[in-house]
Amino acid sequence: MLRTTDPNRIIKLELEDIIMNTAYIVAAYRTAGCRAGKGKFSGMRPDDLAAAAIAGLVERTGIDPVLVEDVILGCAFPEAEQGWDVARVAAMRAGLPVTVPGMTVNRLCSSGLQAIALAAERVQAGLADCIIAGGTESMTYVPLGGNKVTPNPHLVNTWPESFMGMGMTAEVVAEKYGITREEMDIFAADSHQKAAAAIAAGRFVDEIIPVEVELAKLTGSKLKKTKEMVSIDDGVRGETTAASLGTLRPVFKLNGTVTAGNTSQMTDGAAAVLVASEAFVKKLGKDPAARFVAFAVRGVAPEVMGIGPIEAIPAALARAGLKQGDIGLIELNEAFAAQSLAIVKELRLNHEIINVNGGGIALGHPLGCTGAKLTATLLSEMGKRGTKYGMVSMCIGLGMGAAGIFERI
Amino acid sequence: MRQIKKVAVLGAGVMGATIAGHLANAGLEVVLLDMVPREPDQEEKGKGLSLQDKAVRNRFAAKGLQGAIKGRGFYHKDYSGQIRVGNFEDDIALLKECDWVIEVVVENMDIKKSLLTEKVVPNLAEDAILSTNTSGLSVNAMAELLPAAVRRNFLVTHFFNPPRYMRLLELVPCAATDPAVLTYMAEFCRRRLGKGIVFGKDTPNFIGNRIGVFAMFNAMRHMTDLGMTVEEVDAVGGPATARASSAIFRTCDLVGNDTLVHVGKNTYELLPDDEQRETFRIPEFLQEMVAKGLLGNKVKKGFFKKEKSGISYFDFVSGEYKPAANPKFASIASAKSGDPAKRLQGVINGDDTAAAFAWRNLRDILIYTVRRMSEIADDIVNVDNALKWGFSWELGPFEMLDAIGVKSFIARAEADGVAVPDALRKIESFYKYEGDRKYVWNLGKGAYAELTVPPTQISLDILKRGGKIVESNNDASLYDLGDGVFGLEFHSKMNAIDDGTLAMIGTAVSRAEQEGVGLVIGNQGKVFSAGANLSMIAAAIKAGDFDSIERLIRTFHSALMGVKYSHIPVVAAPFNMTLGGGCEVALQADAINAHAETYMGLVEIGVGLLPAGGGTKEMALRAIAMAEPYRGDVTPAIGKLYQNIVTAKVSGSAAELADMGMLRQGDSITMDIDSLIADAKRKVLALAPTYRPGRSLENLKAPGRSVASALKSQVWNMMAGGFATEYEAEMGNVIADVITGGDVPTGTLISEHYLLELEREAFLSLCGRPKTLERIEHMLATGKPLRN
Repeated sequence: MLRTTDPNRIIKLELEDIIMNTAYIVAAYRTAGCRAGKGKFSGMRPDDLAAAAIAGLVERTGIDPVLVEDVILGCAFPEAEQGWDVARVAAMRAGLPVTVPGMTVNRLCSSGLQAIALAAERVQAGLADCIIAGGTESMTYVPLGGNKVTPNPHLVNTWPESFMGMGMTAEVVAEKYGITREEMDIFAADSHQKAAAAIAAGRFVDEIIPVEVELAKLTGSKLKKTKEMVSIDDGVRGETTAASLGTLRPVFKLNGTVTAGNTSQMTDGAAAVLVASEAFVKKLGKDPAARFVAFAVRGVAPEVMGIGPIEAIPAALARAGLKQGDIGLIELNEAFAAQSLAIVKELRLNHEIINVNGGGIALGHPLGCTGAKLTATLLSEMGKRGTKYGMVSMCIGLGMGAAGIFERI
Repeated sequence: MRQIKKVAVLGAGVMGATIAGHLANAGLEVVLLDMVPREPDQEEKGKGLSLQDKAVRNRFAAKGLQGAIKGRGFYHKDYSGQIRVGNFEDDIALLKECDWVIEVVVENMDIKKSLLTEKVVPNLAEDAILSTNTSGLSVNAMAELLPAAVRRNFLVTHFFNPPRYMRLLELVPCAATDPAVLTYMAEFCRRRLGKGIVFGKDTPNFIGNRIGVFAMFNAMRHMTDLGMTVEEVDAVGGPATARASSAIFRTCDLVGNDTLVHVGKNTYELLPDDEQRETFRIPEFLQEMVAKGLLGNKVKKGFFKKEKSGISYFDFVSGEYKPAANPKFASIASAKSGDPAKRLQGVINGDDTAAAFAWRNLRDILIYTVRRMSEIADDIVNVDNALKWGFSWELGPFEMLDAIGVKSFIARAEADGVAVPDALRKIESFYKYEGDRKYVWNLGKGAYAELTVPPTQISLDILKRGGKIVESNNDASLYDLGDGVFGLEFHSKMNAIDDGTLAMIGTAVSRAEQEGVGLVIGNQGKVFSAGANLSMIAAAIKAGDFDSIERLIRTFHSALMGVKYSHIPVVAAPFNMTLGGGCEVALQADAINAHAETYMGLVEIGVGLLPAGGGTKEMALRAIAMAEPYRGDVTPAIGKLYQNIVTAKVSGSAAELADMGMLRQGDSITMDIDSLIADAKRKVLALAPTYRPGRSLENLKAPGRSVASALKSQVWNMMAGGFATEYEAEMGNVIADVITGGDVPTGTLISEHYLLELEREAFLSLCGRPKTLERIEHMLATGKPLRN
């Protein structure tokens, strides 16, 4: 057995030698991402939205739903309409057999990726063959912070940075890593332009499950109810330029640099991913989209939560036994332009392979759904480009970062 | 009975749109119409719109409405929804639904004629009132254009800019106006719109502008004669001589020099026989200023210019701006009385240039006014009111004559070699009192006539003269308002709350309980109350006399808990500034009857303190009461009310108080300031028969530490973002612990009295911190908050 000084590597090799099975991502789909409060999903409950994604996944993969052993959904603020174990509610609402259980996981903005990792780990451990993972978040129904924001009193008194506002953490990161307002606005405008081009080219069509929504409008005393299929991300503004973003005022810090324009959008969305064992995939008779390679999550100081991926990305690469150069495509969640740029700068990531179809600033960041949503986007684009290795990574509130690596089969 | 429910305003320029805004403030449905533009503008073309689209066709009215919103024309942001915009072509039929139509289009007879005859008359509802906002055209000449049936419902309603804030509304009938219509409109506009009604005649510029503009042009003449600067003139032409704080030239900048020139020229043209016609000839420097575009505030340069480097004034000799010199005059410095009459006397009796100017300017204005009387108004009250309400003078011209003394005025004018109207020689004073009766001299009849207070109003001054004060000390008095209702009036400086005030609150409650049916707390000074007396608190802190501060808070609490839990209804009548302790008084009354222009808030944090007269307690109780019946979460409500305290939020109007948790269901808003006390009294009488006293609350579920942490985290983030200072965050933490019921687990049962104890302890704790004293002293010295 090969031994190195890297503890990650030792464990990996040992696990592989002894028990590790392969976990496959059979397919990954997402709903469109729509603006919280203003967009097409603002009347759509997050449990219904997740059910639509799950039902779409089952239909498109053609699996027998009775074989699904668990539904694991990420959700960052699992309360109210997305409370009550939203994964089980969504499974029931999607029409899965009563025997299929559900579990909601929460690691804030990485919840969707964490759900996939949990599913994959069970398959790798040989404890399951078929799990639906994913995420759902309605920022319309449950805003960032939840309906009742009451942080821990002891921490507030003794360590108030724990609950520093997200925007303010981006200001701290911008200052620490020397990211300018101009760089942020250019990055943000670029996100919108790439996303608009991708939509125009139909780049997202394969990964999006259209969802029927009900619209009700009162004109005078006449209420009109209509139905509409929603399949397009509705927060993208292709006409945005760095100059137009330059006119916005900073909102989190007096004379700061972080504006609503260089921050991710608040969004409603859901995603569903089928994670399966080799045996299951063989029986299904379909080529899986990817192999789950590795996942890592790390903690950092909460006031610089945006740099979480700086710790998580190398950790995931180490677990995968890969080098940064092996990764051909990255979905790096754009919580803020400031933190995205700091990560790119610090890790010297290849700008060309990051968020090639735009990111959270244009397409939105539905918190607990994001990790699964970005996985769907990553795998779809990897398929189109023939990329071998791809990565999804994001920063996480309270000071964390996560990264997951996938290999196209 | 006639009932005005819906009003059309024709013309959506600045005046039309802001008049429409104020009608919406009064709760009326409003239709705002203007012309259809000739063609789409660049922006509309860019959107692919054509002249067929509503957005283009209604552009003028829509833009006018946006301007009124931006210009703070509305009491509440939602009120603009009461205005429907449209245009003269497509929407003129809406006039059929309107009870009142106001024409506010450009001052051009041809344009008015075609609008009135072609659009308005054919669509006017039967018996609807039609009025014009004209001041430059003859109302009788306009009436000629109208059929007889319309003429009887036709009059001038001349609003002053901005209509929300300027109280003056001149009503001018035409020869055919039905007197009942005039009476109805006067009462409607007073009561519902809160306007100060003055009846004018069909003469150019009516009353306000005729005298007010004369005063300005006359000031320019004396300025040049005396070799003064515009800045020197403004030092004397404002409060020093009982006139507006914007004095002469800052008023010009406010009005706009182009408008002023327009009015001057118009007056000169239309009044060939006016003996002071030459005064209205535009001075050369003013013409040059207009030619150079120095029009006043709308272009940010006029007689004054405010820049980062400081304020500069226009030197009319060199035609250039010079840095403000902040001139001082001995005559003004020695006349700093709170009583405008004394101030004015002091200044004109001085012996410097300012005094000379003051006298000459007032002499000419007052003589000109006396000579105009039979021509422009029926009595002197209308004239005095016009200048006070339309030009913000503290005294009207005839009140100024009384202040100077009519006899000494005549003597001094004659000593100058100026002819004095004979009518003046018969008079001792224009106003006089006999007991609680006020008399006014009628120049036409040469006799006094009684001036009665309308039945819907109460004048505390008249009651005072009639011996209706039943208790009094230095800071406050108790009135018998009649019908068993007592009235508590504050009258300390800025109506600050002092020991005397608190003592009188106790007396007022107990006398009303024993001898009456209820109590009104209100006054007719300049403000309801600017808050607690800070100098007293500062002195106690410096002397280390915390016992007296503790006593003050205890007295505050017992006085206001006495108000809240008395056995009679107590109605507070706040208006204008109602800050800090003043706000706390209003909050603990049974009901509020506020004036529409009430600027109320808990602003204590600005001076390093927390609301500790029951204000923080009251906000906590209201938040708990909002959530409790529905087993809801108290966090959002308490978060919002807490934020109002830590940001020292002050309402921009009474209507905004509802959103601040300070105006409750059943509270009411009065538009007419002179009806405020009487309305509050009516509210007391309405509440009294069914009044059920409450008792101090117990078994309240404290929001506790868990909710406090949310508030603390919020202020910490404000500090981290640079929006709050470190000390403000520190104070925020102290207030968070009070408003959530102390540092206790959520749900701990507490009482109203316990909240008051928390207030008191926190207040004393803040008083002991050096930065609080710095804040208080800075406020006392500069009148502005220190953000240390």
